Amino acid sequence: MKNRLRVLRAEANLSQGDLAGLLGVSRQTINAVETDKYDPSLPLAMRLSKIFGVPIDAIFLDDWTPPELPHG
Amino acid sequence: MADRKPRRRLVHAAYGAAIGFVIALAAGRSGLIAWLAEMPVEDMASTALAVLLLSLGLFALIAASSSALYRRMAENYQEGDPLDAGVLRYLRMNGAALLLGAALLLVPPLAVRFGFTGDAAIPVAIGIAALLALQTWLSARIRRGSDELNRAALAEASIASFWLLQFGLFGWAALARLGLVANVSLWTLMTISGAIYLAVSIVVALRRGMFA
Repeated sequence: MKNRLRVLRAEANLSQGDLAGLLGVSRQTINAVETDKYDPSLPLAMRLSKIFGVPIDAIFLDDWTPPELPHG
Repeated sequence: MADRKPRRRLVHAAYGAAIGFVIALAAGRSGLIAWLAEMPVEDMASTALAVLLLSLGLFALIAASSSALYRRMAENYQEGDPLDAGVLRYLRMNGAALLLGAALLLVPPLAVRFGFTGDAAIPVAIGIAALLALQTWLSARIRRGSDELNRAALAEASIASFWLLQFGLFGWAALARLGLVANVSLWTLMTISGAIYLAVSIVVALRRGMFA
């Protein structure tokens, strides 16, 4: 899934290692998320959202739109 | 500034080729190659796999021997970036697990080659059981200490290996049952399963950017 993690991290002036340390994951995990090679778990996505102070959908970009609900 | 990585990789490849040549030359002159060539093919294959695991394990232990060395060897490492918590310990544990895996593969065929058969094989079997228990304990600790990317990669590699091995095992077993191919030994199957798991793990790790 495409995401803005690298941009947000750069804006916060954090290295991959710094962010990994804050989240308790490896630097490879941060790198894999930034390069779209790994979609993080929901708990990790929520922690990222808390660290950067933005909603999850401001970090992870999903172009899926739900089908219209049938009106009863 | 020009990218120095391709040149650096070429230099490293040249070093690797030179070291490999010297090792092969020494192995040939000492008679080790001739000695290994007398082994059954399945034992040669498992010994080759063990040597590969041994090399990977030693590489991991060398890389984890100091934080300065790890920083130099890690791809895409940025100056000033702190090391992940426990990364060196994790790498050492992986290196040790690889060395234990290599020993487990080496001991049975070498024991047979050195004449440990019948009752003389019992102490060897006890030693293998102890090594296996130690490796299982270490693997469990590695998994407990892994983060979610490592666990996901482990699960992905396990699933892919399972399907590949089940497919291959069924195919071979069906053909053998029909008398179209020869039966293979348990040791051959074990060597193949180990080789497939190693290859699949490397592919998964590459796809997940874990060497970055």
